[in-house]
Amino acid sequence: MRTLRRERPTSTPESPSQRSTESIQVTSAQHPDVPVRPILEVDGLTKIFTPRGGAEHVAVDDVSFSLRPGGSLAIVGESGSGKTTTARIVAGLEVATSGTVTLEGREVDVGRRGRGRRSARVVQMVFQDPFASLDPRQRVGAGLRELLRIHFDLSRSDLADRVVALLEQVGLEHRHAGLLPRSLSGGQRQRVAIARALAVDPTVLILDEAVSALDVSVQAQVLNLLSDIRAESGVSYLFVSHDLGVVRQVTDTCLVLNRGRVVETGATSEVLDHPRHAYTQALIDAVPKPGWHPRRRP
Amino acid sequence: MAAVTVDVATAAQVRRRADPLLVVSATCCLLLIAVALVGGWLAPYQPDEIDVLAASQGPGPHHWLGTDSLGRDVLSRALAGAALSFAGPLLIVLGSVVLGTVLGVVAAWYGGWLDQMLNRLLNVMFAVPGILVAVIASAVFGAGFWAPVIALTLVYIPYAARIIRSAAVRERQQAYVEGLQLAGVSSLSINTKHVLRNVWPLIVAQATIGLGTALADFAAVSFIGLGVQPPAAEWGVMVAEGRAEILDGAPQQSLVAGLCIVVTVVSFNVLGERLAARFGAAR
Amino acid sequence: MNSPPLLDIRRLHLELTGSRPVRTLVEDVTLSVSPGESVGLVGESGSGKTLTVKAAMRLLPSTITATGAIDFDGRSVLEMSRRGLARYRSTDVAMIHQDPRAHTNPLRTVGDFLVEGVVATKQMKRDEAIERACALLGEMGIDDAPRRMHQYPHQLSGGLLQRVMIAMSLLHEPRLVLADEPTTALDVTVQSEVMAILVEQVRGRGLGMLFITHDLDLAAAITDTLVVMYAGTVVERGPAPVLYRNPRHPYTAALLASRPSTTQVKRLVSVPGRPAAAHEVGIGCVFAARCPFATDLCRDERPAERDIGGRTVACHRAEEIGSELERDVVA
Repeated sequence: MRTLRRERPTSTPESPSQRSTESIQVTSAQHPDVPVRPILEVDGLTKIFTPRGGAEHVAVDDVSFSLRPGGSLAIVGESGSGKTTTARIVAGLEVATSGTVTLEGREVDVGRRGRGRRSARVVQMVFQDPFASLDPRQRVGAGLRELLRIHFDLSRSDLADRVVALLEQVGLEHRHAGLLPRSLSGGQRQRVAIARALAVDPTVLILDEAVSALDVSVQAQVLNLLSDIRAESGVSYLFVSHDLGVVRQVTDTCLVLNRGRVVETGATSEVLDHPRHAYTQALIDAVPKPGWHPRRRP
Repeated sequence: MAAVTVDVATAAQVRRRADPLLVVSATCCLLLIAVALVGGWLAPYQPDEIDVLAASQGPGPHHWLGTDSLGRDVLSRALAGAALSFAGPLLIVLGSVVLGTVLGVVAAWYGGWLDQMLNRLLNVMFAVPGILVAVIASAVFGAGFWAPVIALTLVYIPYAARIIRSAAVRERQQAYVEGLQLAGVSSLSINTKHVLRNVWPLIVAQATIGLGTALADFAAVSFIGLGVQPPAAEWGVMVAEGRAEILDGAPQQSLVAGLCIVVTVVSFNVLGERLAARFGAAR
Repeated sequence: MNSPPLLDIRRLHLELTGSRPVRTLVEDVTLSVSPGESVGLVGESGSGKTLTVKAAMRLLPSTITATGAIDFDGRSVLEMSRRGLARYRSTDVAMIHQDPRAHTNPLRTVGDFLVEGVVATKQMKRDEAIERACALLGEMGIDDAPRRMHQYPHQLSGGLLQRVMIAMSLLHEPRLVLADEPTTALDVTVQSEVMAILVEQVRGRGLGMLFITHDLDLAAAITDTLVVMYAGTVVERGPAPVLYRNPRHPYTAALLASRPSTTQVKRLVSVPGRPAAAHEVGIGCVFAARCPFATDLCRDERPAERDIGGRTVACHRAEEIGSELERDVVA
């Protein structure tokens, strides 16, 4: 059975978190009795922005979590919660002030931006805006080939096969390879972005509000796609989102952030059905659903 | 939200919108380039063919644009001189744009103190008037073709560098660049295959404007006698040589050469400006 | 509805002027808003919902031609004179936009911004306007209104700024409020509060509201009538609870079914393809290409709107397939 570190509810959100020191026992689905090392471990991550001539801003405050192989962890929060900054630090796009990030058992240097080519095969990311995440002048197929060539030594025909396989995996057709991004819809562009991320065969895929900018019906398609991909390939997801409905559908575990601090963590179904923290409850209450009415804050 | 809706004047519409100024200037430029390439063969006379008996004639049946004080056919000189008038500016533009691009892209990519240093260097270079540098260079290294070309190339670098740097900075901030970095694509590849490819049209536009301006500057240096020397039929030289004849009532050499310069400079400047406008909107 | 409608849109047709071939943006849209009624206009990209609302304010670019009828209180908006239009826009109707920051001048204080409209159109003197604005901001839950009036937009959070926008729109006491996804850009907790305030104000003053959103749950919670648009036409229209619990058009049902639920994990029902725009669909039903129930009739003939089960549906097969449509389990 899986035991995850659970945040003990504190009296006020502002008081320092009293985290229990239960050891993390993470297991995989196939072998429930064998503890498996988490694929991603974040411990005490902190990021403080100090703009010149301005007050310092703590974006991420002592955040810790772990992700099991093949698992899907949601980082939930509203704007200013620090969820995107956390994800970017894990990806190496942002520098942390303190704390550690351990990927595949190896600690990475969070004090430096950029990690080198090999780390691309560990963590990849799909960004929120489908219209800015692709080079407007590069055709889809050419883009995929470029990435494949950097990481794999494939013959020309193997390259072509791989490109087709990737496109099929994300629900696109062969003919999309010759198109420019501007000929594609938002949903199609996100599929291309997912294909590009999967092209390098990463262990962890970070989805930073990857479906937020999509129409509801298209979002459903992409969410189904993401579930299928994880089931087939065993890649682990780090899902950054503000949308609790999306989080429920695609993730097993979840972490709720408020103003940079972890307020709740646990299995997604547990957290959403039986929230322990007032903020989580407020989040759930605020989501429009059957029978919902908007409410003013007391 | 996937944007399938209609916006007011989308980039695609701007691309498709007919631009008469663009068409006209492009046509002129192409014609001028053609003249530069084959002008020598089209000329009815040799450009340095002296015919003292026919000196300082106005336009007539034998000499459509008249002759200068040595009886040389003005039309032939203008046509043949086109190539020489273009040669220097072409080298100036090529050199300054290539070097400016390298500086601009590198500064945009690395940012920080490198970018600031470049900025200061460019500010200094901007402060120096171009023609002055060319004149001094000619005076020091000897008049001719190369001194002004090299000097003007150096002077033009900051204009190209600044514009390309801005475009490169904008491009570098696009989300896809971060995605490429994350995917393990090398900085060099990102800049050459992606950033440059998107900035390229602006570079072309800038080069086109530069060509017009370089031509004017180069002709000016030749005009004051520190560039190409007579009897070469370069337009700037022709304007200078024709000066004395104006007072004699035979302005044709200066006038024709001057018009050639003006038309060329305007055509290229307008073309470059229209291209820049069009590519600026092409996102 | 006994009282005549405040806003009456009949057979509105919008197309791109002079394009060859003719590019239709919105086709044959009919809807109305009565005084005190809140109407939700729901759709995805390309549905034409924003264009329809902009047409109601005559805020369309000159590249778009509008035919059909848009009447406000019996007067035709499409045929209004310049002066009439100015009066209509400054006194009768108000629009709340999606992104408050894009619609505020960063160089002017909140107070200046709030009152400039009513003062410029000579509806109030400046002092009176300021007093009213402060009172309104108070109703919005902004306690330190006088201080806020002296602040600049960048000093206010998104939610606060949107509340200021709502205050501004209500200051000149309009009779109709057009809201274009006013809370989409806000955090969900802020959205709840802002929506509560907006609904309170609109209901309290008996205003008519046309509320655009892509969120069916939100629309169902705050509106009386729902109008669902797809590819530039209205596919279903009727009382909100009726449509929400028992949709009759396959697209409405598909929209409802594709929302990820916060309470249970289920395979999301997704319709293949993507939302189309009006000019991308053929002659038959706009949804035919993606509809699981489409027949040849659907592909050849565009269905007219019919009254079925207490609402209006544009579907040839509405009666037959009603029971097969995914129904939402009301939590």
